[in-house]
Amino acid sequence: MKRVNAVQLTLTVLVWGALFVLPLMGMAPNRILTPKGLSLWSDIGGTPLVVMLILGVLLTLSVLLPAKLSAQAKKLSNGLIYFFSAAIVAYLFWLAGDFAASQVELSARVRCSFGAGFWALLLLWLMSIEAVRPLAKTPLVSTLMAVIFWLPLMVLVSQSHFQYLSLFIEYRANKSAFDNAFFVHSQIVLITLVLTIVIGLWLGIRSYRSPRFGRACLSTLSILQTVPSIALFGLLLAPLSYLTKKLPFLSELGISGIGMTPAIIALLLYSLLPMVRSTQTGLKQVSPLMLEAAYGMGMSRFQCLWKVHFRLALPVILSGLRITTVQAIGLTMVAALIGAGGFGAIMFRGLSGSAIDLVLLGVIPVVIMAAAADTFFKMLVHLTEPSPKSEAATLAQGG
Amino acid sequence: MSTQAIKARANQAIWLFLGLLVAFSVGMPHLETVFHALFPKLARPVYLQTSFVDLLFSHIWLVVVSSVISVLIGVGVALFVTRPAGVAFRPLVETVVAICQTFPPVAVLAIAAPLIGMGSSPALIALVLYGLLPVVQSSIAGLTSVNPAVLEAAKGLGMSPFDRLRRVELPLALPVILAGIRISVTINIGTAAIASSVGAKTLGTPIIIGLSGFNTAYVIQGAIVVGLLAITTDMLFELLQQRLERSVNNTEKN
Repeated sequence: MKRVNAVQLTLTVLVWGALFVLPLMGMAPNRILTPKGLSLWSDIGGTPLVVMLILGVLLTLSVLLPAKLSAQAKKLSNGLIYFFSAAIVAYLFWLAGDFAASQVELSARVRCSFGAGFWALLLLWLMSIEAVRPLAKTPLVSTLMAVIFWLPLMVLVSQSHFQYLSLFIEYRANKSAFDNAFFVHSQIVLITLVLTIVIGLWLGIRSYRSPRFGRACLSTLSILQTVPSIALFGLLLAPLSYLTKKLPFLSELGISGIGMTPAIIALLLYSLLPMVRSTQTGLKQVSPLMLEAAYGMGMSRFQCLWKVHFRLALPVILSGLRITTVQAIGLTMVAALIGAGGFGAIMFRGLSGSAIDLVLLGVIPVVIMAAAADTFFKMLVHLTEPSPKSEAATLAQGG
Repeated sequence: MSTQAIKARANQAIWLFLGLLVAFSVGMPHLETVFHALFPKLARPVYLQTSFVDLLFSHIWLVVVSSVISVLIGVGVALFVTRPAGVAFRPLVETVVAICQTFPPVAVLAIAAPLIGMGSSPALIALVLYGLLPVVQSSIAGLTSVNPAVLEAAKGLGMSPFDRLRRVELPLALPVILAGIRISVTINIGTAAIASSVGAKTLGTPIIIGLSGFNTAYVIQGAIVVGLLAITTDMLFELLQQRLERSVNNTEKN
């Protein structure tokens, strides 16, 4: 066994780099100017520098703790690594809020933002969770790990510690636009998902039954998938506005060339491919023996399809739905270009004014939404994955 | 229909789409009467500020440069984490790739632009970064899927590790790597189109100008050409993959 874990050592070196080489914070005299990077070493200094140095040394020591001694020592080393990297992240959040507050006190127009070092450390933190993953074997330990990370952050948020950071000033200035964007964004994604599930399942089941139909359906959808989103949104613009002109009742229904309708149609066209493909594969991979057994137990055709065949295909179908959802959440941003609204509208507004904080205000919620959807569906897939025992149980229940 | 016939038809389709792509980019100014009839209210129904041939070439150039960089870095990373020296880093790399893929490609572009400035460079950086992900993923998948028995046999023949990589592993992994490059290029063609909103000169330019100036004709012209470019490129990859698979199968039979 090697003395030191190479992955953990590399991550630690990167942490030192992010802390002391990259600018941790950014500061601009006002909203319009590009922020200038401030490094912990030369610009911030003082107590934060000392605290970070100590935490950095402690982290390095726990990585260097000889893992050769025993499995126990290795566990301790992993625990310490997790604890100290969580402490660095928590202190970093505190520092960002505190620094912003102290600067705004000096001049109300000053805008403090997170610097490259901050984002690098956040990414390194996500990686370090992976690097100590073997640690979280029991539910107790993984709960403890989650508490260590989330508790300090929750306390800081509850005390509105971040209110002077530029991102949060932007948020307050755009609160109604932000809330509306959240509503519209979720609405577009949810409507698309419902349509995708209904149409996708139907096409998927048909594709399963008739391979010929399946081939035609999948090759059409995969050609559509290659068409860039902005082009598809654009191509739907003209026919829809033509239709609403010819058939006025459509516009009374709220359907028009720009806005939500073309967005949802385009998103649906993109979403169908993963859904149809996963439905077809899911149904195909169910063992014929299981179906045979279900028939043998006297199930009707309908029971057999829904209670056995579909139930067993569910994990595969859900993982298709996961890809669809993550993709739709991201693509909805582009739909802002054709006036559909959502977080993309905030992002493009920031882009045209080159206000990075407004861009982030549009991007961060979307990334969080996508990550949440990703985790949610992964959990669902995990829950529906049949163990050999429950496969028998499904049959027993149905019969 | 036999598979031979399907393939022959697919080849014809490539020529059709390639022809349409060239025809639309070269002949767009001549379609003025058509677009005038479709959109009688527009004073200038065809986008003429820059020729579509120009836009097409700068679009392709942006995608090619970014894809080449992505492939070099991506395959390099995959090679590192599949060698004994770097195998410990594999779970880490896989996690980072998975985390980054929940990021929408537009978001990378939007963050890069205010930090780096407007123009082609933020577009290039965003394209390289996002294009890396599918390449890394598929290269790792391809390199690890090589049958260990084959590698063992190559070792038995006295091949050096470098020779094994060059003559056994990479050729066998190539179809899977190519599938990743295909995804990466497809995403990049789309993101490059959106990059016109940060000032890069691409086929998205008429779309963005048309959308902001309520000129639907511009939007359609840009959309048609960029759509044709995407479909033609994808078909070329399909053809390339078929050829590769055939040659891999042949080597395995011999």
